[in-house]
Amino acid sequence: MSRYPFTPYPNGWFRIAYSDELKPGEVKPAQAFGKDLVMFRGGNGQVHVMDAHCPHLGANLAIGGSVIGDTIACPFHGWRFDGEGACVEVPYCSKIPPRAKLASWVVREQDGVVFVHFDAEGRPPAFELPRVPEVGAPGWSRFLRFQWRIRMHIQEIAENAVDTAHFDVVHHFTTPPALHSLDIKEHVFRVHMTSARRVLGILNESEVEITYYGLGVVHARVETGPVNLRTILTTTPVDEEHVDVHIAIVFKLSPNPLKNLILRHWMMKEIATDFHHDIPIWEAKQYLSRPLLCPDDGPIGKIRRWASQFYSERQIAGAA
Amino acid sequence: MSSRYPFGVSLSGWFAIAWSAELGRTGVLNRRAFGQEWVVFRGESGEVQALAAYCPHLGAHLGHGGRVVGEQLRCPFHGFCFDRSGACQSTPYGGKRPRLHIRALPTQERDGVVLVFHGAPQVPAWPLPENPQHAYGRPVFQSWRIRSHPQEIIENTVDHGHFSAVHGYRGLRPLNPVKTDGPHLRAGYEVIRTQGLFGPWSRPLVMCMAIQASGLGYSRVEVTIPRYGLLIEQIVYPTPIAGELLELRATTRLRLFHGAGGRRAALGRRLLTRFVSLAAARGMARDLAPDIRIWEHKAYLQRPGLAEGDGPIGRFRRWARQFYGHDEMAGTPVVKLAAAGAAP
Repeated sequence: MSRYPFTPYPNGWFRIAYSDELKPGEVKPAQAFGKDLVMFRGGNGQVHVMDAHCPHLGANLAIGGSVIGDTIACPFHGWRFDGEGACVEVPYCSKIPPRAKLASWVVREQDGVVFVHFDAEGRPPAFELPRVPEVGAPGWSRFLRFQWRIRMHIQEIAENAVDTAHFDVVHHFTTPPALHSLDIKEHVFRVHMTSARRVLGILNESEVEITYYGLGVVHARVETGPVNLRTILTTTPVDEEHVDVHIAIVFKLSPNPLKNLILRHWMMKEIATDFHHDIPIWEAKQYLSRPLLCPDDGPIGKIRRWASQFYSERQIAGAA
Repeated sequence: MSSRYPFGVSLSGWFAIAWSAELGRTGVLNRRAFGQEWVVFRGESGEVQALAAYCPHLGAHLGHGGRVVGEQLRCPFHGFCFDRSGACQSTPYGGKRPRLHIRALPTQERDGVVLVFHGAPQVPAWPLPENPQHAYGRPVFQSWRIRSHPQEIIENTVDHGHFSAVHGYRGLRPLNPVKTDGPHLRAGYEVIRTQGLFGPWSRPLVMCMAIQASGLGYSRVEVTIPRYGLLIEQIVYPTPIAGELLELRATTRLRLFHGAGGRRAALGRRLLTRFVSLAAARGMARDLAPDIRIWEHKAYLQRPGLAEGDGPIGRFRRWARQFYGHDEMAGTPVVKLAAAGAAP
């Protein structure tokens, strides 16, 4: 039985790969939204994402398929499909069957990430994702990346960041973060807060701005004494039970390479610890449609109401 | 993700369950097949028999400590003995013989392979075709454990399109149209193999293939290579274990057309036959590798998008239906793949 009162697959943009994972001419499998998918980068550099099973006899194109020009050839009978999923060649037949078509996904590649758009009703994207200009900019580091596959619903991550009370209990913050402003507009949910945290032993006041673009993509800006970083946090439902969580961080480089190295290691340790505190709770918790909240709990009701717009079936039963 | 197949593993037909050599002179083997546990034993007369694994008395597994006594298998728990028909013949308590019975599968041994007939008890076991045995050399045995279903393996025999895309064969010419005859299916092709038989450097080769599948657990291919004067026989035995797991066994043996008489020539011929058999088996394993990769990841599409030149896939699938019992594939699809993925 599902632990959640709504569909595991909300609408919006979701990470499917990092750009550097797909070189030109490369084919890779992916799992998302309960489906086997195939990703490939054609000769012209464009990334295409399609359902993986060939409509001919069901072979998985991601396992042994090959890129020819801007098309992908099935490993089983050599049928070729273009980036839109249309069959362009059957090697032993001049007539292409009209039903020979693969479902293709809407893809955007920006800031070193490949995103796909999911909509349960097949509608075109309702919004575009903004860029993170610091990614790849001079003076900023390369990506520092983390990934987890967690048995939970994608919405738990969103609730977590505005759940101010859990920070000192789960993550041992000295004081819970103070929420300054909440900016909710259509698909965007922006939280601005300050928190005090020890960075390399020194207590620092830090400015944090977290922005959700739907439930799949979060941009975070953290500015504190020695640390200035931008984060792209993405969550992608794998199947009805599991979510792939990826974090990609760039930080402002210091002229001192030793300092950069220390900062890098500190962040790796810090983020891993933070998540390892959260994961067992997420994997075992229940989603309460009517949680028992108290005034200092953070805007959990607000984020639930905002999140409900991404579910086609409107299944959220009494979102607080 | 849900099952990739709309049908289960309780198939009817002859299926390989062991190599003869695994049993030794008398011996007991444990096997999982058709989603159930079985024991295979060889009695003192040399006859082989497969029985369901659990003793009907108090449920002990006969394959863990059971012993062969004459032509019977003795349960390790209370010493009840069962004969080849599965009937309990004696208990150590003496007294009246209990009316206990274990399911026994018709079992036969041929060409170094132990085969069982699985199916509904009321279905009589049809005979496997006789094959001319005398002239072939010793077979080479190979097996793979893969994630697939027997129907997918046998479907490849009528799949003309994959011969070129997967195996690089050119100029496929059907010699005999696909013919079905009860549980048997026959097809014949002539193909040109671009990669020679004995490695990537050998020359393109014309081969004639005569294929006979009998049920979904036995497929015999006779390959004639006129240039080398070779006749290669490869038998493929897919046996469903449980779920999506499959044991794929294969034997390869061959006959050389040419050869001089005389005793010394006979020895040389035997050695040469052995050597070429091993090479042909390796060639087969190389040919099978891309097939296995596809089988392990493909889905079974109920409504495949076929094109002209595809081979009689639809006819094959209709033929294959006879091997499913009443519980399996009762005419209606159970799972709809691909489309089912999006629905929560």
